Amino acid sequence: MSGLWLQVLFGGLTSGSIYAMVAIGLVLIYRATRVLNFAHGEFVVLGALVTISAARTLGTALLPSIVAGVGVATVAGVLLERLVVRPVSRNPHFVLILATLAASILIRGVMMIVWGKDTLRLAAFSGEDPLRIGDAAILPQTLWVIGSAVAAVALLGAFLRHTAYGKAMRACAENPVSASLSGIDVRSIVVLSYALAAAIGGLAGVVIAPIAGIDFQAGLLLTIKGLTAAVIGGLENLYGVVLGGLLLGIVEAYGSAYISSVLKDALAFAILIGVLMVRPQGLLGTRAR
Amino acid sequence: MLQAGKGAGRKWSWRLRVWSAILACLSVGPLAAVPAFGQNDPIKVGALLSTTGVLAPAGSDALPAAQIFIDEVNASGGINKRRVELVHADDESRPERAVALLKRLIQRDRVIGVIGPASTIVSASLSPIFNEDKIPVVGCICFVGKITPYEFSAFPLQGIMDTLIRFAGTSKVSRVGVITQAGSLAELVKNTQLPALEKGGLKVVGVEQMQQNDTDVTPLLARLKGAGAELVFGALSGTTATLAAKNFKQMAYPGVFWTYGGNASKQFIELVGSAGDVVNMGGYKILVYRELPDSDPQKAAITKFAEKFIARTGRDPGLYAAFGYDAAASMIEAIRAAGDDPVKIRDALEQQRNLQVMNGVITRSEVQHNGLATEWIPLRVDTAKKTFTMAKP
Repeated sequence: MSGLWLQVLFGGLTSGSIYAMVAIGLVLIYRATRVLNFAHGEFVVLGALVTISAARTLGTALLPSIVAGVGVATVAGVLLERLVVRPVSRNPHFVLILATLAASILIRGVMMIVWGKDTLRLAAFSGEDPLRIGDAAILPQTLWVIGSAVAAVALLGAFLRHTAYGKAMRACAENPVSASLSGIDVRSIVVLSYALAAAIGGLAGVVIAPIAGIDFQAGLLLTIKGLTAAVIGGLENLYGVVLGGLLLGIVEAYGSAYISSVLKDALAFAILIGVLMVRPQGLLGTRAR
Repeated sequence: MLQAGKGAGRKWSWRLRVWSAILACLSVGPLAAVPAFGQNDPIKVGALLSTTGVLAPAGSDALPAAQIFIDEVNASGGINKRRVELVHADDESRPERAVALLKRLIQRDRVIGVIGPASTIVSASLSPIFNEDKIPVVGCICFVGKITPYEFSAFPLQGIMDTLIRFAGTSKVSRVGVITQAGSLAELVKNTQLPALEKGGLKVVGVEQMQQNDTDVTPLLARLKGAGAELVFGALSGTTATLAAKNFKQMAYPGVFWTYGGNASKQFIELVGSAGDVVNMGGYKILVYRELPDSDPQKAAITKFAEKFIARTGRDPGLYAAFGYDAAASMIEAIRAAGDDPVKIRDALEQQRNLQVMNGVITRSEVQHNGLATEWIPLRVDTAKKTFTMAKP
């Protein structure tokens, strides 16, 4: 039994790193526009599917395929903002959220037509030989996912703190009206947020695709899990989001190993409700003003 | 206004005549090609198989296979010198579309029996129509026992647990851990398959349930390992089975992995990747027909069929090719015995005994509407050649 707790931890980290990676983009858009983008999971899937197709066409080198996948996801993010969100942006927030939900169904349909309904697989970046620690084993790809999530958060943090665009983004998140009064083009900043979020989403798809494969309809579940992770971590804090994602994955894994695998999803949402009751602003969030 | 309408009408009727002449020529064409069947109407059998949508891989294997069987029947003179015609309808894997198409097959095309569908996803909604309109169907659905009075199946299922029990014997293991998918599959496994394993002398030491969208099941496998399972039975299908196999390999699980033969597809090999070398499954001979020993009584028939299938489709036959062929065989034999009356065909299907088909022998009864007994063989994945191969004990 000795290796069980460690193997469960590794299993939880694998799922959790996926949730965290998806949640980062959700939080980025939420911070900039207060909109929960229900089409975010579609960026993730789109990035992965384009990369898989490109890798099949281009062959050996993975990097150009990843650039293609992330690029297409980024364009999709910009298009979503320009064609779907902006035309209805004067409406209440729930209308915007509904618009993103509608867009997600549309994108999913298009992806089904283009890529079919089969689950597709991408080769793991550094092989499939697991790393062993005692009795337990972890896939190198999991480390790639965790590494990408940490790198994405660190780079984003630096971008937001040290560049003019990043500072403008933070200003818009703080107060769009006074940001525009001080000469910031709020609209371009919103577009930038969507582009960045979609790019990170696309990258998330690329790094998670080798773990369990990906199909056209994986996006909705990813969005829901990512959203849960984001709320647990605090919707505004990027580090909190990574923490929330990993925590969600680990709790699910221990729950299914030590209590019951059937209760896995129920446990995840019990955690969500618990966090909302005790700390409504999330684990690392600041209290709403 | 009136005159203009008249002029247009004349113009149209001229075009109509030309077109109908062309159509008439076209429709006479095929009739002229088969003069041997005389003036009798063809016997029409429906093929309700999904060739698009999620079930397309199964349907596009089963349809050409059924057609091959029908062609063989026609080449040897048809049934009482009457030609058999297979009328295909593609339900696009959608139950509601299947309902409309089945009604069309029965009312417009006047089929006297139906072959297909390939999944309970579609067949469940068709059940009342078959029984109310009294049209028998032989499907390729995973079901044993009495389905409904007019529904039959030619899906090899009986004996699958026996294969696992024998495999456990040759691998010298007796403690089995089961990982299955929560929901109706888990119920089926618990109610019918686990008792069969226990009866066969194996000890089920743990049952874990995963979800369709899980991305990592190592915690569940670790629990089975903790419970001392020497053989992990992945009672799963599709992507869940590949994930379990990958995680099994990732953990370097000290034991053997077994899953359903229904998973034997190109997509499975593709998805399971390098973890394919841990996978064993109860398989069908058609997947490894080239490797069968010459002493195998079914080898000649399967090879002949496979060659025809490759000539027709340009690819190796998959599982559902054999199922589709056997469904057609069962239906045609019943029509041969009972004639044109769908009710009598139903009775004949129920009374089929020792009917040799490609996957085995069909013996049906009032309480058994599947009745296909198959000799299973353990298979492995050849990860290098990306094919299935016979498992060597």
